[in-house]
Amino acid sequence: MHVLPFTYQPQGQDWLRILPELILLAAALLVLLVDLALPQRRKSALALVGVAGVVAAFVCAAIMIGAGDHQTAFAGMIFSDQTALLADLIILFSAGLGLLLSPGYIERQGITQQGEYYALLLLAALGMMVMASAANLMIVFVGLEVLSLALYVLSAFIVARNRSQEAGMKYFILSSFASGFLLYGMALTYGATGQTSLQGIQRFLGGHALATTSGFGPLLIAGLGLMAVGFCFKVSAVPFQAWTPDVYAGAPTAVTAFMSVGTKVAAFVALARVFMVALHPVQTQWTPILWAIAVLTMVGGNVLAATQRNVKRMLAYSSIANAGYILVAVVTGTQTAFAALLVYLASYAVMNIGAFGVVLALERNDGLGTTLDDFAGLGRRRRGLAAAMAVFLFSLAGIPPLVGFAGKYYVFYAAIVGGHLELAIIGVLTSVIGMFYYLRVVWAMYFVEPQPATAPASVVVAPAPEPVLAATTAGTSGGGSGGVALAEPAIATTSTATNTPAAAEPLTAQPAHVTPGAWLALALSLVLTIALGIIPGGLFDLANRAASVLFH
Amino acid sequence: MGEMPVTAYLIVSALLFTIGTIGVLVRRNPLVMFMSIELMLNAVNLSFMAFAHFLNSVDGWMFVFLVLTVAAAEVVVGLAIIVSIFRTRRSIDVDDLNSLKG
Repeated sequence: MHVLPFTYQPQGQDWLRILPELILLAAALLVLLVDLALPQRRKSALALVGVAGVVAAFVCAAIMIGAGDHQTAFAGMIFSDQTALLADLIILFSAGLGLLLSPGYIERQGITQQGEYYALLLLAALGMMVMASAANLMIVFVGLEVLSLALYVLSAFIVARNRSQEAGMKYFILSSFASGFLLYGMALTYGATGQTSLQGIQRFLGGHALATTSGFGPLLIAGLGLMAVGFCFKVSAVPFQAWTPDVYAGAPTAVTAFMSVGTKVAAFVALARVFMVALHPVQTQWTPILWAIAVLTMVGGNVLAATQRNVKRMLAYSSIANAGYILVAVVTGTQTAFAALLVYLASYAVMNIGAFGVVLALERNDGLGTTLDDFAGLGRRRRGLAAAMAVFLFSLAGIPPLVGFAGKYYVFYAAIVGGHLELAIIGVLTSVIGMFYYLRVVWAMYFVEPQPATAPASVVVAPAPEPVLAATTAGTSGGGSGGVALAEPAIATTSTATNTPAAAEPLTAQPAHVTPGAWLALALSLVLTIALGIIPGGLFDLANRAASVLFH
Repeated sequence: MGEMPVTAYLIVSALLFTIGTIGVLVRRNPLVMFMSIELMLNAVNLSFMAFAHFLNSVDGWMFVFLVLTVAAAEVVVGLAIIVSIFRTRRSIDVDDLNSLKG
């Protein structure tokens, strides 16, 4: 029988290297504990507990970037290098903003289990941090599943809304399907190289010539193809993007804001570590696959986004388009490209959360009120929100001096220097389409009169399926369907009730009350969108140092 | 002791994985789709075990434990979502999940 010696004693150092993750875990458990002691009307205090935990972990990660030893922990299982810590900072920033946006919003949506909501949000962030720090395929998988499991539940969290449950269900089936592919790819890569550690795979491939038809070659090529499919599902690249708009539109908007950024950061950092670093010696094998996916994603994401009338869905498609630009950096595969990827992720995080934050402030209790018609004339009705939205959209469109421009500039610069001029050209051309649909919202906000005739029409068309569905549900089940089903027509009636005066007076149709926390979140992302755009030097330095360690 | 070659295990594993994939794509009942996903994960487990045995490496075995644990957690979350949908709609057929489009 084989003897497989495995002795390893964790040291104090190991625990110190994952301190931000530990703080976040403690915060999640604390939220669940405090939840038991709080009366129902004081539950929003849980958000503060969560924010405190996130801030503590953020400060810890920021200190570790300067003062940490940047070694791997637990026998080479998890990195605490600058890349991991920078990704931690971005993820914690988005989790903190997600928490700040939540309190008023989830009360409006009738969510009562707030303790579970905040704990799951923190645990999802924990999973993202683990995935972004993973130094071993096992940890990539565990981090991915921790974040996915938490997000399945969060997407389906509004029990009274069919679309939220549908989002959770679709996300669950498609995401676990993708996990299967990713896992099979990992198994074949392990079979080909005998390693699951990323550094081990890189060493093995560096020392063995690859023959595509004999030895470990076929296994490895099948493995990296399957891993590419699995990762592309997770980062919602075309043609694996089908779930993204449905899930982003159906999930609670605070969750969408957080996950559209957090999952991208985690999945892209893991993808970059696996493909750009560990599989670097066989770069010629995987470049064609990802090149095609990057082009499809840039073109498909932008074209589909341009056809959307609902701003929340438009932002979902725009996140697909952004995944395409980040894939350009992955395909380029150089050290500069890795730094550009980190810069792009950071810039995407600050502007995208802000844009979703504005959508969240305008969304009505029934989940509607986010179409282009609802944005018409916003510049006069709600100056602050409209101005913030305009800045975020200009940044997403890549207009200098905002942060979106810095990110796009660096990615396309890296592509040109790295010998992928064609990708940079396609990227710039598709960005022009992007400019059209981002600026269309700005146009609607400032130059389109809110028309009393069209506003209610659009609203009536949109919610029609829901009351019908709810009515048939209640009818077929003979009233036995319980309070949840009965809540549906109730919401529908209130929405039509508020819509009727909208015809005469559009001002009262906007009940959105923006909480102080949400204002703080919007202000934070606004300041960073502008500040990092004007002075991106610090971010560039940090990303370059992180990348240089991986490509020494 | 005559041993089967590693390719035999890999072929069975690939077959199981394919059956699981086809199951997810053609079936319309979430419970059956869900079982097909479990089949895919177990096909992967078989690969890991075969590789771990033939490479004489402990990593594959550890991976199998992680996959089993995660699969159990997925069952919990997945069934909870399915039950909650069934309570509201009295139907869990995925073709009825069509209120999100575009």
